[in-house]
Amino acid sequence: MKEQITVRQTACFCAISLLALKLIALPSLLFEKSSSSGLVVAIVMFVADFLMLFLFLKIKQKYPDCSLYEIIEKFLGKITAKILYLFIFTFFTFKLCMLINEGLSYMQDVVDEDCSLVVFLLTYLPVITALCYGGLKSCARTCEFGFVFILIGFIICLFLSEVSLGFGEIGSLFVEDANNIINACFDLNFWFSDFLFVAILADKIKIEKNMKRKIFSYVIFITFLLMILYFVYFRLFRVTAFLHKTAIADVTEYNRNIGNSGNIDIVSILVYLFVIYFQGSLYMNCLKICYNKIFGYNNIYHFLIATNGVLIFLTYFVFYNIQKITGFVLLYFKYFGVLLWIIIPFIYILLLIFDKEKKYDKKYKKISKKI
Amino acid sequence: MIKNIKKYLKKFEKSFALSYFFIIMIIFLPTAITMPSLSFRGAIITAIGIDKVEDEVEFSVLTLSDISKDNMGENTKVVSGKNSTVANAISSIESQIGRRLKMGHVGYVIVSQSFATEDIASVLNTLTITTKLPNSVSLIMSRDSAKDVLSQASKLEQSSMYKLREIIQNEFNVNYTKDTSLNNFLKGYFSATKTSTLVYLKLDKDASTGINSSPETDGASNENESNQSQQTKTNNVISLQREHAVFVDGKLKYILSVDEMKGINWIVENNLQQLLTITGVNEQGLNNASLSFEVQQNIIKPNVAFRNNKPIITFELSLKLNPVEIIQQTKQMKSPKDIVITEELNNKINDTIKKEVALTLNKLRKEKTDVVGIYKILYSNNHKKFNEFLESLNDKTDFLSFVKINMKVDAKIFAS
Repeated sequence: MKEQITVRQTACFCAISLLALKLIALPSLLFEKSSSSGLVVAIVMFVADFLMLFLFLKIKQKYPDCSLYEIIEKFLGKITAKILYLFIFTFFTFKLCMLINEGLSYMQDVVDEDCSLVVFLLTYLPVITALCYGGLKSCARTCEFGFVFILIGFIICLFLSEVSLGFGEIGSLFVEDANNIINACFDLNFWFSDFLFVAILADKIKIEKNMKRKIFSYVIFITFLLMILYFVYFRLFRVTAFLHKTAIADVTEYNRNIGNSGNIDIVSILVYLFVIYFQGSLYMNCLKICYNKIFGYNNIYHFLIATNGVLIFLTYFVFYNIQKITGFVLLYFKYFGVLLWIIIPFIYILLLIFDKEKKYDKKYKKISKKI
Repeated sequence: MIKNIKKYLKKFEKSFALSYFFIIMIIFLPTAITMPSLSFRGAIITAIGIDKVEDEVEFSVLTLSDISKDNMGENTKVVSGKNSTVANAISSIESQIGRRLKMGHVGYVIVSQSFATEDIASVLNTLTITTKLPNSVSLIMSRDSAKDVLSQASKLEQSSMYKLREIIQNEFNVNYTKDTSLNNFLKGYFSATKTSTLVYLKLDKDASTGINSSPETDGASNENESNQSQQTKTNNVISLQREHAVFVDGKLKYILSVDEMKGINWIVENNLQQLLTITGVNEQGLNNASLSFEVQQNIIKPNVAFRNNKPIITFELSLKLNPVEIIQQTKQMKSPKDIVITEELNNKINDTIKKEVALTLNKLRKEKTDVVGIYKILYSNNHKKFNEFLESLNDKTDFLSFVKINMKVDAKIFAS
């Protein structure tokens, strides 16, 4: 029987994906790239992400039983679908490498400065591998359970950071040229485009009533919390953003009023650990699907050994610290990310506009009305 | 052969978690057992002092000792190292105590006035990046040697329940108008005006006010003890002044006196328990009286306008005051609680505030430093017009002289 996840689980995945790469290095990069307009860049990118998610859900409505692969295969052929999936496989591998590096950097900054990559990999890879091995359904159930803790912890982090600040003026946000804002969006696209997994897992998402509304309510709420975090970060650090590479910890630690009351960064540590483990498992599951589609067979052992090997090689020998991978992404990989941002929505928009044929069964037609 | 491997793999798969746990144990347990504890590898630092001694940097740290004590105070020790660079000075301390310095618990950093005349921002910036010094630490400038202040702080912590760290924290929470944390200092340093301020601290041997760091001695103390106490009597009163040291481009430029600081309170919305004294009050049955109010709430709203390419800022102050004291020559029994704010009294408050602001602004204009954030207010309000205004000036650093500042006060009695 086909593995299926519920809409609520999909919404949890979406929310966790939104958080994963945006809590550590991104705020610093946002304000480094476009100074006071960092918040504007974040808003623009979130809106772009929402549009992408909307498009994916619209396609899900039209082709309820097809994932991105089937759709591309149907209209552009098998080879194109395989090439696109190879691109996506590379994209997710890099995202996972970034997640590992951000996680390690965070651990070194907040938990133990002597924490080595080996120790981190030994504690991280087996867990996400096990979550992937257990299947998408079990991974989604675990995420659904853990999401509550993430949400509560994240709100506590924001509360801890905001207590001493109050809501004062933040100054002008639109002082940068539009060109600078567009350039920053272009440079930082890798840290966004989080909903690509929805296109990959589209055929595995159960059809339920009010699907779009449910998913968007989660996504918008988390985005709202993220904007509060960025707002606080901006008020606190502004020109010194380049010194604060672990946003969620720095923002929580900064509170001078409750700074003497003990180690409160444990909250941000737990939140971040939950997020990176769940997100890592989601990436692994997406990689598994991509691997199956590209090579056409379902041997989980081969996949797990190969992926772990590639990840260990990349993180240990090529991108052994966060500066290295951030530099590579900002210099070269941003083009790759943009390519995916353009190709997939472009194909989907064309399908929505020009594919008037009823290629799906009557029963799907009934179901799709529910969404 | 392959069948056998598959069989073993299947067995391994069944007990994967347990097997992994044992593998981790085998790899890490011996290392973990033989490794010395964290307290033996690292020294917990609670405060830092930086001095300049004979063209070298003297880096002093207040380390927390893990040896138990009889009394309640913290057992701390001052250790210092001297070298031409901070990194070498730190390394020298590490070799003296045989442990690595752990900066995560640092509460405050003291910079001596002799060192502050140099670019301290670059040193502090390096410290933040290389030693992971928290950015929320309080930054203080001391008139005297930072090492001496640390010694006094250590004595104070050992002999009493008071800690310099908490005193500073309290000053920030209650009295100081500006956040003088390391992060705020660096924010000022990297900002357009390159201006930052620091709390100013003195060690006074003859000061009548301040906190005495030497332990209290009783009458039974012997001659030796009293001789020792005579020796340590020098520099043993820590006196926190409400003065601020102003830094431009990371270097000390001048010191703002207590009177000159007062005006900042009416422009920067941060102060909490500030006092406002109005003199020459002749109403409500008072004759040439001085009235003191505690400011309970101070909401400041800056309104910006540009006229003839010149900025005008009107600060609208909404004050909630609590009358605390009446002083007058003639005998008059009147409780401060009976005071009401009439239009005349409101005007007097407005005049007093105007005077205090004018005194501050004169100093700031003279020194060409924007401590109060006028640049930020104007830039945030209309950055295009403000840039045009700056372009029209010969000396952009003197922009404050061309900004007209008005005050409009609306005072009310605080209803507790």
